[in-house]
This record gives sequence, structure tokens and C-alpha cells, in this order.
Amino acid sequence: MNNHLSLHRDRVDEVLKADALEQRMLHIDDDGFTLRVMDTLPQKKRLSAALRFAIPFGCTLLACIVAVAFTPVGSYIFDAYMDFVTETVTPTLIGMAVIFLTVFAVSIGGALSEK
Amino acid sequence: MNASPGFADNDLIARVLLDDDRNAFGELVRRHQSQLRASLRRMTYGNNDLADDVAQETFILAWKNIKSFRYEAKFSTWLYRIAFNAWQSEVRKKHEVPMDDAMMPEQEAIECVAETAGVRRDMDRAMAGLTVGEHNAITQCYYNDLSHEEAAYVLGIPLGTVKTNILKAKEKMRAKLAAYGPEAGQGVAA
Repeated sequence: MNNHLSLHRDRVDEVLKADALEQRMLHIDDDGFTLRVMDTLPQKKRLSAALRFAIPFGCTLLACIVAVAFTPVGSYIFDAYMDFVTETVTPTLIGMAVIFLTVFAVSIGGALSEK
Repeated sequence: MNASPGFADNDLIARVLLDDDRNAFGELVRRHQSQLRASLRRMTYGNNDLADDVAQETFILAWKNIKSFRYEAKFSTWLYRIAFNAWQSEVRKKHEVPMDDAMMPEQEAIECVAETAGVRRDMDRAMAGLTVGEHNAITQCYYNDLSHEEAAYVLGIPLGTVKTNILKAKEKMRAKLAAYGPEAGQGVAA
């Protein structure tokens, strides 16, 4: 309505503004309207819990494989694996175990999250 | 349903976008239902049931498409646009209301407002003589309190068309109100 500027008095404009203001003051009671809308809202599509776990965990595993194959960091992962197999507790094994358990926990958390 | 009355619309929208928060969306519905239903009742010439059906459809479409909300317009303006499009779709489906510049049947309009009185009745009768395009422009600019630019966005028409429709509508209403009585028409011929 801010565009309705006029140099002379415009009775129709005034009547319309007054009527519109009066109409806007009238509140339509909700009367269950909001509940009806909320009941009919479709559920948003979500990935299954298995996928929500598998995607981050799988990506991490893939990253480990790539790291072992193509980067110097891979030697740490390989060393940790060998320590694990030979049941030797080393700082490398502990570090990798912490990383593995963190990724596992985050993946489980993502899968179980309601959001 | 947890109400979130302290939050601004944009905060609630952010919660819907980030967390699919149905309670936040419920608050948006509760906040805007009155204005939207009133606007649709006007657009549907007083057909309250149809207006409420379209309002419900509007909110469902808003929920489905809220990711496309860009914060360029106010949320209420965005809702009006969805509502107008939903109503147009309804009209096309049912072929109940003429789409373009056809006139609304005056008798039907008069029956709609038979229980109202005075200036209110004169206003409704004057509005009944408008084309659909003029009626829509007046509804958006005055009754929904939108600027001409916002009305053009809601109606999906050029800004110039909105301005033309407003001018034509006011000319027609000026003539009608002048004919109905000295009070409503006072000064309108000037």
C-alpha cells in the first residue's frame, strides 16, 4: 500500500485502506485448522538406518584403503593392523583404534538419530 | 505441539530446513493461517470451504517446497504466491471461476454480502464489478497490504499490469461508490 501516493485526496483509496485495515483486524479463529494441516503433512523422506550407518562408515573404510594404497599415512594403518593381528599393543594401534571406534560410534549415532 | 512464539519467521524456517522441525512449521501455520484464509476467502468471493481447502493445500505445498524459499520475500508474501497459484490450479480443475478478464456475476456477489451493511456492502458491491485481474490486484495491494512489486511477484504478472489494474479498479469503484450514495462517493468524482 506504500505506493498509493497521490497529490490530491483519493476517496476510493481512503475507503479501501480503511476497509482493508478493518478486515485485517478480524482474526479468523484457528478452530483446529493448524492441527488438520499438521496431520496431513507428508513425512520427509529419510534414508534407512542401515544406510545412515553404512554411508559414513563405508566412506571411512574406503578412505583407509585409499590411504594404505596411495599415501605415506597408509603405513601407519598397515602397522596398526599388523600390531592388532599379532596382539601387540603399540601407540599406533591405540591411535588407530581410537579413530576407528570414533568413526564407528558416529556412524551408529547417525543411524539411530531421529533427525 | 510446542509453540515457539518468541521466534521470528526466519528462525522457524531455519529450524524447519535444518531439522525438519514440524513444531516450528506448526507455529508458522498458526501464525499465518488467519491472514491467509482471509485472503483466500476474498479471492474465492466468500466461498469459505473452498478457501480453507486451498489454504490447507497451500501450507502442505509450503512444507514440501520450503527448501526453495530464498528469504528474498517475506514468508507471508511467499505464502500468498503459493496460495494464489494453488487457487488458480483449483479454478482450472473445477472451471468454477472465470480466469482472465471476465466479470464476476454481480448477483452472486450481492448474495455473498447480503448480510453485510452500509459501507461494507457498498464496498463488496463495488468490488463485484471488477474483473478478476483487477480484483486480484486490489486484494493483494490493499487487503494483503503488499507493495505493487510484491503483488506482481504473488500474481506472477508484470509490475505495470498490477498498476494498470489498480487504476482501472479504482476508477470503476469510484463510479460505483458515487452511484451508491453521497457518503461513500463523496469527493470521488474529483
